[in-house]
Amino acid sequence: MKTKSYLLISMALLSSNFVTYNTNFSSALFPAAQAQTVSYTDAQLQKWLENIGDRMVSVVNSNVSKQEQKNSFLEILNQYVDVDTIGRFCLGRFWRIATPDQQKHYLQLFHSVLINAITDRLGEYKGVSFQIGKVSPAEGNNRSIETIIRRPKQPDVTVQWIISTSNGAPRIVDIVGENASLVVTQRDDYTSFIARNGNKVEALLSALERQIARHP
Amino acid sequence: MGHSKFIPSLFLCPQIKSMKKSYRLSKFIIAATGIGIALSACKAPVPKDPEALAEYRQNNDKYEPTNRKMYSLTTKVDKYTLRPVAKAYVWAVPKVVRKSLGNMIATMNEPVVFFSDVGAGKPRRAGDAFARWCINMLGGIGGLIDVAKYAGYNHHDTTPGMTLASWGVGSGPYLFLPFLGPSSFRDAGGYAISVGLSPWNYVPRGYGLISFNWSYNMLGVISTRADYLEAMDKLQRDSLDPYATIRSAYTQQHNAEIKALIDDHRATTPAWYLK
Repeated sequence: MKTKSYLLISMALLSSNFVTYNTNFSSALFPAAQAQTVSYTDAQLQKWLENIGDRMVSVVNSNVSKQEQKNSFLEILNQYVDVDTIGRFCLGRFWRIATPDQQKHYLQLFHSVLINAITDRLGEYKGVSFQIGKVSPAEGNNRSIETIIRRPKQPDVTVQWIISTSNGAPRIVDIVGENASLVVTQRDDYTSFIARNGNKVEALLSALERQIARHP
Repeated sequence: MGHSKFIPSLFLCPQIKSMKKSYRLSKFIIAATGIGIALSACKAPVPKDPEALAEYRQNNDKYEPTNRKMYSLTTKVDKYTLRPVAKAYVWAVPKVVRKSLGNMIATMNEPVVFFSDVGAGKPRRAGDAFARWCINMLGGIGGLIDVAKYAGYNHHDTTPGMTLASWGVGSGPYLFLPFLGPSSFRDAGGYAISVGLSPWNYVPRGYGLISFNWSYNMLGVISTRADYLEAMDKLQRDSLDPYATIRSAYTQQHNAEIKALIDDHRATTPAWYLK
């Protein structure tokens, strides 16, 4: 219903507040992006995403065991999603405060948390299909591809996939669902948690460990 | 007030919806909040570290200590009151009926959307809201069926707070209103205006209408809460700091809604006429 009216909104232009936000975001994520020229056409990127989407859909709709689904998704994730970059961004200002060991440990935990969160929700996406929409420029030389996700008996959802090509091959660096960015929301969760626990990165690490341990 | 707002997701679930202002709890809650804040307004200390300061400014949450108290009060009370009621509602009432009642609640709110769109000077949006109201009240049996959607008039939300924003009124600090959810000074003011704009508060006080008004209000609160059951449960389970997650998602989505309102430049003259 409502999703239609937001088809054209791109996160990058939200508010003056947000512009600052996203500028920081892009420079943090893609320090070298400015110098790169993007060599992919919009049509190529659409095709690329469609391919990934098809792979995801076939995993979701397949009847293999949960573990096998998880493994297939891990493969897709490692191949097309820049999990390290996303993880680094989600740690916000604490990335630089963290020691190299903490950084490494954090990224490992982040990978697990992410794949757990995805596999938990695969059930909800049974019977999913999607439609690739238009491509528009996003912050920091990135491009945003719009998709409409259709699920049986559920309202359609518009999701924007933020794609970076700064390192050569395209990688997914953010997902914007219903106007809220995955990485921005997640970062605000993590940084606020750290700040409330005496600015200690260790507190986040043990919380993530607990989260993973609790996961069935 | 809007009822279909989505919080993003922790991880790939675009469907997590935000705890959102319930439709219309009484006005005094706002007044009480105002007084509460005035009395207990403890401000968060302003950080000195430049990055922490940037984050503090970004969060726009000067009254964070008070807001957090309001948040935990709300979630505590919710856990033992509204949440079980909403669960019972979902359990007892078939989905089709819930959907129809949800449609009715949305239709009954169209006058507020209409006036807000008019205030923002957006004739096409106002026209959509007006057409939805007329079509759904008549063809949709008092709003129970969303016929207007099939006629090409999709639901949209405009709140008086968004209208104020389109006039350039700043949001003021973030607020978490008890039992109403995330807001700001501007949007809390907008909420009070929306109570005033709703025609249901002006109907003659006959016995039947008072009953209608009460059941409509109660239903609105329960139905809205029911819409967010799963999403809120997930959010509280998965995020490490649910308060901050809600604040972040609300701010992002609200800013996007305001931007959509401001950027809606559809012409009033139909395209076929201009040719």
